[in-house]
Amino acid sequence: MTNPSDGDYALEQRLRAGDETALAELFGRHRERLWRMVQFRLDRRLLGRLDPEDVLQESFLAARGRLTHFQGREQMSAFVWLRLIVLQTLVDAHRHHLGAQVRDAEREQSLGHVCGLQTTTAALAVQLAGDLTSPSQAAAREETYHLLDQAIAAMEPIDREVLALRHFEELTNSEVAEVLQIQQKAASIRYMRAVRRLKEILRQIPGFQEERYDG
Amino acid sequence: MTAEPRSDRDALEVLAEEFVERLRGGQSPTVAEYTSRYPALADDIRELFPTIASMELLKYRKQQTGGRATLGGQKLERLGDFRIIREIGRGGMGIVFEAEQESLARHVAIKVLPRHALLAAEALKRFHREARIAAGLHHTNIVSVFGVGEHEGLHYYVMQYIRGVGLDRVIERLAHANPTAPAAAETPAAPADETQVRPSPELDGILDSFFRSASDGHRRSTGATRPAAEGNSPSPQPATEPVEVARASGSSGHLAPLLAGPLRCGMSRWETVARIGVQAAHALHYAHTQGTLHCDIKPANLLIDSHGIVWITDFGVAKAMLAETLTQTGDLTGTLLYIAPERFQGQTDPRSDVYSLGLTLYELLALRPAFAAPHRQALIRQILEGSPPSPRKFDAHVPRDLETIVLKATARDPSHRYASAEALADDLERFLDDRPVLARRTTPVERAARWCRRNPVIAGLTATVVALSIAVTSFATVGYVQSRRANLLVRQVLELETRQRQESEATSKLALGVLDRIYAAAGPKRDAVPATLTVTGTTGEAIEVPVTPALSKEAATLLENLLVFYDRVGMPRGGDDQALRQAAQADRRAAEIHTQLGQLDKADAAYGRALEMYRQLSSRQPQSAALATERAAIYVDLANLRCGQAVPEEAMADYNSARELLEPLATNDAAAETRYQLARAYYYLGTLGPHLLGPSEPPRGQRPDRPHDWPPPKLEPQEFGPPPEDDSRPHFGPRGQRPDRPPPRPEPGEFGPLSAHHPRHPPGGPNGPWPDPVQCLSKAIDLLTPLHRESPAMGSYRQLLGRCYRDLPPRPMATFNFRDSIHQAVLIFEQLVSDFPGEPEYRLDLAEAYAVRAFNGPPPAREAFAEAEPYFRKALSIQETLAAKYPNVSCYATGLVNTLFRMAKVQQEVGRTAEAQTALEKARNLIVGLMERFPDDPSNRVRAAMIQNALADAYRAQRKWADARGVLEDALRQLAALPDPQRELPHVRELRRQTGRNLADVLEDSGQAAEAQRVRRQSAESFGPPPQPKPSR
Repeated sequence: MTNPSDGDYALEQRLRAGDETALAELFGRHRERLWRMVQFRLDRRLLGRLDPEDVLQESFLAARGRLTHFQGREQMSAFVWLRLIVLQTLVDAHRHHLGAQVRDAEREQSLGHVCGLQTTTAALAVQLAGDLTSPSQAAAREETYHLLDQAIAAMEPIDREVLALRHFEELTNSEVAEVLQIQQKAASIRYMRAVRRLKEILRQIPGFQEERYDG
Repeated sequence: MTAEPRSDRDALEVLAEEFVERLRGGQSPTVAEYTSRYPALADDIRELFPTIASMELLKYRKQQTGGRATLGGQKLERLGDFRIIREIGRGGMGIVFEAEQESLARHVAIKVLPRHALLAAEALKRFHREARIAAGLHHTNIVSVFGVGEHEGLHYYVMQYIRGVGLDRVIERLAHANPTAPAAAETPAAPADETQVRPSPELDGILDSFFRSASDGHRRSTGATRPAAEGNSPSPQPATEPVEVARASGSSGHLAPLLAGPLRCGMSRWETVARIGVQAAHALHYAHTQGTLHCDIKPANLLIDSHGIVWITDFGVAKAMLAETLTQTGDLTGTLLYIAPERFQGQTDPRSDVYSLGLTLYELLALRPAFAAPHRQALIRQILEGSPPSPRKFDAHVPRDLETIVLKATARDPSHRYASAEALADDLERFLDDRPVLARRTTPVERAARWCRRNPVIAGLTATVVALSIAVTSFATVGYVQSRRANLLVRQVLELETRQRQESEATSKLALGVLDRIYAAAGPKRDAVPATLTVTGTTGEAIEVPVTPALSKEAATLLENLLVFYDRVGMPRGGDDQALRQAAQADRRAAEIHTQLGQLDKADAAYGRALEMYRQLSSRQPQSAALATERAAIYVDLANLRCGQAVPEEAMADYNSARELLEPLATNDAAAETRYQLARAYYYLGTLGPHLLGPSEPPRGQRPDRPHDWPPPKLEPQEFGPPPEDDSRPHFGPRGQRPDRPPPRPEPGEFGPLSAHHPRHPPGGPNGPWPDPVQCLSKAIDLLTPLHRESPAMGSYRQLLGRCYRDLPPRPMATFNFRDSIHQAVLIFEQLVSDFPGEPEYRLDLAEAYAVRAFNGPPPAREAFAEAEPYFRKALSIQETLAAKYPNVSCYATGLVNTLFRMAKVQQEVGRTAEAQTALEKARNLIVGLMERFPDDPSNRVRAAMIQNALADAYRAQRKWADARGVLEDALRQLAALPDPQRELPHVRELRRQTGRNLADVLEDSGQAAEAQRVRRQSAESFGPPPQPKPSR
């Protein structure tokens, strides 16, 4: 699952000592979330061409090669470091495939978001517009998507990012804080605010229905 | 949980994290639970947790096909003793190579597992253990495992090399050949794990035997020519000899070796399927007696080789990987499709393999997987709770006994299945032997009991939501079968909603969302506009037929059920804005449904209610552009309805209301949706409006010389302004149904590319004359073009733009040219189809654009028709596919009919009368089919009559008088048989008169003048004298 356990600390120690098998274990442990991130941030244009698995494999090799780099970084946790490498691999893949067509991202570099990928806005909007797959709904989905896209773009970038990290990359609060380089407390408050904002937005979208409600 | 100091964090956030953790863990935490645990935070919880839950659930969208194994780009040349020859295939579990084992100089297959697959030490041990067990299996129908190995971190195992093809490929091929099965590409592909080469001719022969229809009743094998030792024939490779072949002969007696033998050409498809089952089941049983379960039986793991022998591959390996696969993402769905339900509870026994084999056989029969769901959770629920439709529903030729066997093998409760693989094999052999099978059908009582037992007490709404989502996904494509199921589920939701009334807003919101999707799937068009079709007869008169899109009975029932619900929701529960808005949307839906059901008055009322609610909303939020836009959209819908009801003044008023709301708002930087809705208003104004003249008025201007009125004659330049009065009739069917047009000025021999085309002014009402369609469409285009640039992702904007271009009347304008505009339309739609391949509406639009282009293209000299013809063909091919795929949605079939009709007209023009005749006959057969499917819809009969008329023309041109007479008399009978209100409708009367006249002409031509006179007299008596031709200007 996504919970770091005590075992993680030991793993990190081994990693800093240069233990490659620790890297493999780490990778295996966080694999699913990393896969999700790649999936989430993959540009739609590359959907048919780039397999998240491939990206992960390459990232693994890249990470192996940069183990020393991690050893120098005392402040960064292993997972966040790994995530960064996967992200960079993904960006490289985008550049490779899309070449000069790489879109200009919003100014999100400061939030750890690497330029060149599909913007978080777009990614969120795509996810939230839902998975309506019936024939006539595809058109409706596009509309909803577009409306969502506009509304989400109006959110504060950091709020957007928090939602994406918490839900679509499944990061914990402390990991989010680390990625965004803010305090844990701040991350916690940010998240709830972001959810509130999102709720407001969704309320305005005609036709958007929340997927699920519990009694 | 985590080691983070909780005191630092927002208390609500910590709770949210817990909530999410449980959701991800597969639990169903309820909001109520949290509100009762933490009353102080209750308001926030109620407010925000549903949103959080939404995000989590929406996450599990359909994974794109991916999840295939890779070696991270590493190229493999050797693995120890094995020299890699080539890659054979890859699937979710690994990559398979053909290799040569150099020490033994034999060919083998090697499966290499991806690095991550066995990261945990446990998995590795398991893998080795299972490989050892699999290596101990020796059976004719089991691919032998020779060994396992590891090479630089890559784990692999070595097995027998089989020249064959996986059953998944076979199914795919069968499905493609079978027009009623869904294209195999649609089903979530179980990652193929194939050891395959190009099929040999023998293999092709075997595959060809599948294509034979089972109606030849050929179940007995052609046993006489087959040697008895067949079953033991070795594979072509020098593989190990089968050491022990356990095959229980049971009660099959001496026929056992034959029945269990390999496939041969000449077998019927059912026999083939049964034989595959027999071979596989025997192999499974053998393995079970050796203590090994397979755990991953699926079509991809069953190979057929060129000798017709079935091979089961991947024994045991799956089990080792299972723990991993269930938690991984991406490549999961393929394996999940065939997993027995009890395995989710951790119980596996030989009957689980029986189940999986049963499902594989099911798929061979039905040519589609038993379960289909957009994502993992939904799929799991389906497996646990649902049951697939019986194969006979897809193909009525499936032998009953065979189906019974398959259904028993795939029973959800293991104790209802065959107790062993051998029992399954035995029953299959009985079937092949023409003996009664032991599996029996459940009686209705039993079925009801089972249904109750399995129908879960719906724990929360989630299950229903999921189930409904499943129903929605498969509804539109599978057709009436699923609509029955969807109906059941809709009723369930209704019951649930009644029970949970007090939950009010949230419940109805949820159910509304889900039902919206069902509705979207059931209702073919988003804009439920009553359509019309116009055709011109031989004398140049035009006849218009308003038609409502016909629905199958099941779809209609479903919609009616939905209506009940929408009506309920349509009564706003609270006074607050959100509730009001929701209710208004529900009323809008209800109105659309009423329109589709032909209940135009009720539709009118529902729109009225919706508008009233919006009026209230707007008065509370006068600034809200979004509200104004929504309101305007409803006005447009209502206006379209009014067009369908043929009350142009009122339609005009509603269009104008929409415009009044939107025009002030639609600046260049206004919201896209606002501009779009305004464009929409213009579009319908420009297309539906002008032909609202009522078919009762006879057309003025006939063309006595020409039997058909193609092409339109030379035009004269027109200013772009209010058009002068003209005697030509405008013909704009919605969605670009382009009929013939009687041109105002016949000039034989002169062919101009464009015709002068002006709308007739309806009686000027208080709203003034109807605006010029070209002006309207131009405005719409002006609005949409920047939208197209700004929001290329919005399919609907582009679609409307395309439609504007397509439906522009051909007219010489300074600002645009007809050829350019239709070209634009085609471009736009082609792009849409390529961007949204799953969306049939766009394909229909494209087809119509093709047809319009072809129909209104350059004059039909032979060469020019040669140019137009491919467009017709393209249109036809698209529409045929759509009509076959969505039998419930009649507009696809009628679209096809229309295109055939148009093409036939043009063909007649260039003198290709025989081809025209073929096309018309095809159209007629389609219409007859539609009439049978939708017997309550009179419009099909009217259409049929029109086609008959055109067909008569074709016959006449070929001097086939008898045929011409036959179809015309038939048409007259059909029309006379219409129920009373329809029969006396103006356009129907007109059609009858015209048919009568055509008949009289035919009679005269064939030399039966007296008969002809009689018919003319009758016609004059019933319908009055024919209209006099007006002198042309």
